[in-house]
Amino acid sequence: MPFDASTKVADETLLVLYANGDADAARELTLRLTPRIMGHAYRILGNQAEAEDVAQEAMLRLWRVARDWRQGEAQVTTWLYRVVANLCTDRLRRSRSVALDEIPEPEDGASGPVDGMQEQARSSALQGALNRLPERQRQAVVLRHIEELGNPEIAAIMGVSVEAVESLVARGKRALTADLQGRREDLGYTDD
Amino acid sequence: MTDKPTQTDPLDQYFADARQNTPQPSTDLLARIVEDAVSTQKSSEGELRYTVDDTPRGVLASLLRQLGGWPTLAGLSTASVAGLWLGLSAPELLVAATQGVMQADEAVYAIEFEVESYFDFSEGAL
Repeated sequence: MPFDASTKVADETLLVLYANGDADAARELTLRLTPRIMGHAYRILGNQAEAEDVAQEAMLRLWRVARDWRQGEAQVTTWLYRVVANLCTDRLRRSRSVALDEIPEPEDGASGPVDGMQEQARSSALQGALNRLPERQRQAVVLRHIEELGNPEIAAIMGVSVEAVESLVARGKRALTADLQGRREDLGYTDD
Repeated sequence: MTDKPTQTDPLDQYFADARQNTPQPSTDLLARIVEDAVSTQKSSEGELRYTVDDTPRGVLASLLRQLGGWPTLAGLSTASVAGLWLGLSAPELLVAATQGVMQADEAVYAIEFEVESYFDFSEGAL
């Protein structure tokens, strides 16, 4: 069964269809979920190649668990984010530091050359500051402010209380603000 | 008291830019992931498949599930109707049904049974 952009089939339903042999469901899940989890892994690891590996590994685990998936217990995205978080933690433990110059430049968007460079510089500045945060704060800030998830879902992903998420996000944002202070003008931000 | 204009969090702009500049998966990566999906699917072909869970969640549905489902309920209904019929049916019908089951010789014994020849109920006999 083909799924076009207008098809609003739930992730869980697609997973059941995949488990029953529907290859189109796998393609749809891949297109729908991979950009999200890869983007998240990139923000946590600061490295695109590693983020791709993590995304592939997380999706492979999803395919393997499809037949045993317990419907109605957890959202597919919540489960995937948790897997990605664990995989990132493992990688960060193996190599504790990521040098800033190893961070790949983000892909160019539709903006002009100057705007594009400035956006890349801002994005790299934020990524550098994120890399300097403690891992749990980084994860909470990325899930809240870049993935734009709600605190209860973040709590489920990170296995902590909603209050703990709020605290991690607040501390993370304070540290980011301090880190990026003084760079706003260099990066082309204005206060108007 | 003077109302101050709400200040935007300066980090919001960074976050918005980051969302715009998140690297996208390459077509190579997407192809590898779909390939993984297909090979995982093939390796588990023939195993028990499962369906979307559409089990009714109501109290009656739950009771029905605990009893064993519709087949059990059908058996239970038949037994109940049969019991009701036995209870309401006329005695003649019951006798006829009983005689149908019993042997003819047993019926003769029952008729020829004489209480006096086996038991002495007279006063002082015991």
